[in-house]
Amino acid sequence: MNSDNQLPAEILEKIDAYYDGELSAEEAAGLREELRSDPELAAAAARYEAIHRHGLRSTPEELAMRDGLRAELRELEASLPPVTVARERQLWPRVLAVAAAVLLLLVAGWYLLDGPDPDVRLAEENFVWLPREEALLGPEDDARDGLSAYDLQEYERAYPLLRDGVATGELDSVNLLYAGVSALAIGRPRDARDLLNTLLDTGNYPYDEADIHYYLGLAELQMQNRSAALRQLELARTQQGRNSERAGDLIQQLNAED
Amino acid sequence: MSDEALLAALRTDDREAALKAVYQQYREPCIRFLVGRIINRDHPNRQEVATELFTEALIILVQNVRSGRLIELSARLDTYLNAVSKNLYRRLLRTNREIYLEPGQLPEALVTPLPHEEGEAVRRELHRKMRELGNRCRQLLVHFYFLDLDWKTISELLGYKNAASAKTNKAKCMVRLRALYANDPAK
Repeated sequence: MNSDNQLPAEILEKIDAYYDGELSAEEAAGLREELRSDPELAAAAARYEAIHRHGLRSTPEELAMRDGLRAELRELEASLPPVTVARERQLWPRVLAVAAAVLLLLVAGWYLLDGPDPDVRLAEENFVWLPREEALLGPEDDARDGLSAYDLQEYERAYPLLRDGVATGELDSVNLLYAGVSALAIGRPRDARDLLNTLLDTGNYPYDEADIHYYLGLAELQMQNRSAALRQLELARTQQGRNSERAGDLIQQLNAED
Repeated sequence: MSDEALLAALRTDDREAALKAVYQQYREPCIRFLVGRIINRDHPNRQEVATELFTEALIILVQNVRSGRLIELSARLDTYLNAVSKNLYRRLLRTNREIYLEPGQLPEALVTPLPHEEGEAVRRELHRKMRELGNRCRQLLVHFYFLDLDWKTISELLGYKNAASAKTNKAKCMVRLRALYANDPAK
């Protein structure tokens, strides 16, 4: 029997690319033609193809079992109470109240932020843009401006658009996270903290909790609340998130300063 | 119950109870994640679609755990469920169907395929070789071929610098797998 190692590396890579869906129709036709013209090559290719067609696939038994598992889980689903997915518009009154309170606090405490405190400097140095990944969110074009501004890291523009977009229900409430990040970027840590806490309180975004804690930590640092910042950063470090490592580093820096 | 305990239970004789326990533990957060973050607002029956995607993702994960292909998780179980569901939704969008359907057929064979029995022998042989491959490579191939995840997600789950780096490493792992397979004296 022909062995796969008789196949040139270039052909092997093309076969991999074909099964990974990365070969164009023209390239696939060219490869077929090349293999067809050489029976020895074709025999070796058949054996290598079997790796993709049989080895790197779920077994027929597994595929056959899926129907049974589906039926079992459907039966279980039918016995459970329906999942309640929070409606984003319900957040609006809370966001308004929070915004009003924040404004008052901000005016009263503004002078506290105006200093070269080392914690504030650390918060600024450790601020990073949080990519939105590819979440599919609200469809309205106006609200999309806020998302575009955020993606371009134009935080001054993004912050009110995102905050208001959530408040009017045009945007999913998860955008409070990006509004919070934007608020932090433009030196509004209290706004950031309140928005992020509002989001956290919904309990609907376990996927984002570590990130929320990280930016809450930065907001607390900006406000020179070191112990609160450390608590938030510790939560960000221990939960799985995009900034967990960064949170750990920042905790070390803060401890080193003591 | 912890993720480790759930995974261990999925491999034991009490698999059905473990499957139900995982379903009940992660159903709500995963469906909320899908409805809130992933599924388009104009998609009909979003919650039903989310439930179906979650169910399929769970079945895929459970089968890979039970088969021994997926020995350990490099992130929390809910992270995996979310990631697999998200990719199933992407596929759903590409196929433009309203509910999730089984992944498509294999692409047309490039040359006349081996007879079924020989193909099955290749499967058994490859299963053995995957064990010799080393954990890092095995994880990469399982995440790509069996969990059907995209490179960006794989790079995040397995700690590669980026999607390109994970993909380059997968190519190296395939070279290694081919070498193991081609040099097998039992073949």
